[in-house]
Amino acid sequence: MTELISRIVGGLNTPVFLTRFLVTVLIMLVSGAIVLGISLLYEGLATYAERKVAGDIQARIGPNRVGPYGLLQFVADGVKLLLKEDIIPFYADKWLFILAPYIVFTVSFAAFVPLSYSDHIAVANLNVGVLYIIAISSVVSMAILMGAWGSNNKWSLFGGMRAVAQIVSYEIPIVLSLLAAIILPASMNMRDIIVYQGGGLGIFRWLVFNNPFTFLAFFVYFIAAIAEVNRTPFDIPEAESEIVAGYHTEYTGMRFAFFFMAEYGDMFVVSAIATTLFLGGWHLPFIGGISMPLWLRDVLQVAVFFMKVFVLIYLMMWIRWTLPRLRVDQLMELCWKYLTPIAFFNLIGASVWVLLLHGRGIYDIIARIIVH
Amino acid sequence: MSVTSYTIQAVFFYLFSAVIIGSALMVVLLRNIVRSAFALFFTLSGVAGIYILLGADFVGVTQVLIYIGGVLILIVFGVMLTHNVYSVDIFNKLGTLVMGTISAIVTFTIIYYSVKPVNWLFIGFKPDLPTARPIGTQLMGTFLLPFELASILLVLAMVGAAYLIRSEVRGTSQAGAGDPGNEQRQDTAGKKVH
Repeated sequence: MTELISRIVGGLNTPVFLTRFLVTVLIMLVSGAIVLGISLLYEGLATYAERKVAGDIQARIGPNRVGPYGLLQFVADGVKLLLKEDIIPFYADKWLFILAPYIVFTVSFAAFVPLSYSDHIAVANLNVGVLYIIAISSVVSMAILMGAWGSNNKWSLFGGMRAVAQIVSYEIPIVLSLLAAIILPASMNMRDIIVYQGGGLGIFRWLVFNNPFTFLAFFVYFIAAIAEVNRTPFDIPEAESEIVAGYHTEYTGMRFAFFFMAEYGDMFVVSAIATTLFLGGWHLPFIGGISMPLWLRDVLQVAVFFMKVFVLIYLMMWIRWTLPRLRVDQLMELCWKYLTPIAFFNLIGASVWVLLLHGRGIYDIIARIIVH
Repeated sequence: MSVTSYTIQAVFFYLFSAVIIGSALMVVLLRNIVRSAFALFFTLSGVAGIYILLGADFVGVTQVLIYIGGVLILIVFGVMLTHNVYSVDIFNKLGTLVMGTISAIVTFTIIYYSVKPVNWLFIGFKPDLPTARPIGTQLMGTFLLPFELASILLVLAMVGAAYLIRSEVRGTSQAGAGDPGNEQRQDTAGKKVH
């Protein structure tokens, strides 16, 4: 793609500097546009899936009118949201009110950048990939607070403060449990982490099965991740029964849709991190050793990666429509009294494991014992 | 490394600098202090951009994590709890303006003349160099003592903060019996703990 763009731009007879500059900017724009398109399509389909799953769990049918099986429901919803009246409350802080949804959406989209979708497909292969995603997701809390304050509404402000308290608290178990996994491949590069989990028999090299501590860390991470994206049972920032709709109470039309899409984008990102760090990423289980054309391998790897991510997203939806909501104090108690100590224990345990056994997995050790 | 890539770097450098200086001016000059606090977001992001432009990806990302995800949130909360959020008269005394200008000029001069004579080691533009591992080994090896001292200081600060909040709750619950105003304050203090 780089070559193609440089050939097109080079034909325009521009000075070298301008060509290089245009190529750089064009590559950024094109790769960003591709990811944005795919993520928007995913977010649309995810809202449809969410309603279908809810229907299944509540013994209803769910959307089935627009398109085959109701698949085009999200297009109809999108058009409806675009045509709705854009209301900005009279006493709102207009700058902050307008700016907040854009930052929330941009940030949730920016977290897609360092993900490694297959052996050769990634937008940017960052050396600090995992840390980058954690950092960029922490910006969401600032943007939510911006919208909550800008709305000039008590419910919004309460929702915003709850969201910030929740996100900041749950970041600690998330980072600690990710660290327990990262110390094995000793890299924060998404691709390196996945490559480390390759080889061996199918799923046994996955970090989640490497040792008991990473196994626990996966579950700590997943619980905390559900809280990080503000979903039931941790959706206290937007609890309808208490504070109307939380921080997006005053938002209508497309501005609300930005918050909504950002939530589904965040769901994808946290599931993709879980897939990358714990569940072997894009490695083809069982058939990895078979030789096949490069393009076929990449396509299969992308399919495997997305399948794992979608299983985790389905799990989140399942949890949302099954469990009741936690109270604020229960939420904080769960984070500080249970998840954080367990995450510290995991980190220390995993470090000791790496030091004593040099990162060998539990299956490696069992295999060695059997062979001897 | 060709000259052109430096020029591209320069374009982005001036872009980030414009963002930093523009938003920093907004922080100082806006009358609505909540807006100033949020304008700080763009300043801090611009600084992170400069770090990444210099090839210090770890420092840049940490800047986002700590300054935007942590410090900025604290500042915004602090500003929200102040009495007069709207139309704070920032130029209320002539003295502050004069003193501010003088201290800004002095600070700039000190930084300029301490940076200028240094013979900087120029290693060129290497964006793909992993920086996290050398930083980690340095922190855990050469600079282990200062690193541990800093962590002890942070733990002490955290314990101290927790103790202060706890004692405040206890104090209000003893003093505020039968006084409706105090009761309300006790409510909010109780919420802060959770």
